[in-house]
Amino acid sequence: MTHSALMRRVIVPQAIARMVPPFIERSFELLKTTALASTLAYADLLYQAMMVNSETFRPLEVYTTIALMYLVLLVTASQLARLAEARLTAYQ
Amino acid sequence: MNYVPDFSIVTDNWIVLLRGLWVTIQIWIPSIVIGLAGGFLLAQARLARRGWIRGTSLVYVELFRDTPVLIQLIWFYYAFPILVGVQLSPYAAALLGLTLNTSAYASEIFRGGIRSIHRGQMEGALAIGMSRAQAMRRVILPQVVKRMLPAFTNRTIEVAKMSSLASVISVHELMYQGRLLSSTYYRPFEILTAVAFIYFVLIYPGTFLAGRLEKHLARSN
Repeated sequence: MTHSALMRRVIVPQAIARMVPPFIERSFELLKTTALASTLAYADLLYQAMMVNSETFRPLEVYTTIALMYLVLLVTASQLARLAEARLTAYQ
Repeated sequence: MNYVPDFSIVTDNWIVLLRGLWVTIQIWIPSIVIGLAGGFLLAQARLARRGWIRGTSLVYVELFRDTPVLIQLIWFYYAFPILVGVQLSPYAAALLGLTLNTSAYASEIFRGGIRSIHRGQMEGALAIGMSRAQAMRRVILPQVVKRMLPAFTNRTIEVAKMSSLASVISVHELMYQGRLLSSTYYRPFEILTAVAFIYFVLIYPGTFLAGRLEKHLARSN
């Protein structure tokens, strides 16, 4: 086989299955990092929460709610990822 | 591009940045040290025999791992005081948030490390009459610590970077001083570049050592 055929047919298909979990992990990290966009006044979830808070003066309710929103999002996503990982590595 | 960078603004104000760096270190070191100790206790709880202890520590760890750190800091500064009726200083809120966050991540490292040691070793230690605590201290931990060193170094580096978020709740650390200087002098390019450079100088030796350590440990195994 040529080097590129070797890569395409043998190495990459195996490597991808192993790389999927760390990639998914990274994407979850990225989801959490998006909250930083609020510090540049970008209207993400946290920024909206800050706006709501400055109108209502209810930080406890507002910030607890958005923390729970992130939590639900990430827990659901990581459960899905676990399922996907089980499927991808089922052949082993 | 007609902009002429003038880094004298940085050298003129180096004392301000230095003061910021000192506060950064005051957040960084305590939160990593207390966080590691807390993480060890949490890992013990995760491996406890009683189900409710395991459950509680699992919920704690997931709460801190599955929400953004920035929100945790903001929550501890603005929301937590309402719950407990005591106003926290920005520094206390940042330290509390980062310490609890670090302990959640560290507990996962400890748990993984302790689990990676074959169960037979714990059973063997118990069989020759050691208590669980003795077996942990004399048999399991010495092996675990070595395996976990690279992960701990990574966490230490992460915490150094996370400490910059404390600027959002106006802790006067490096990032805060940098933002203050850049809005005072309208020289964001020079000042924020200098701040990034200081973080790099602070953190790079850690990354470098972690790499060396990992190689060294891989060889000694």
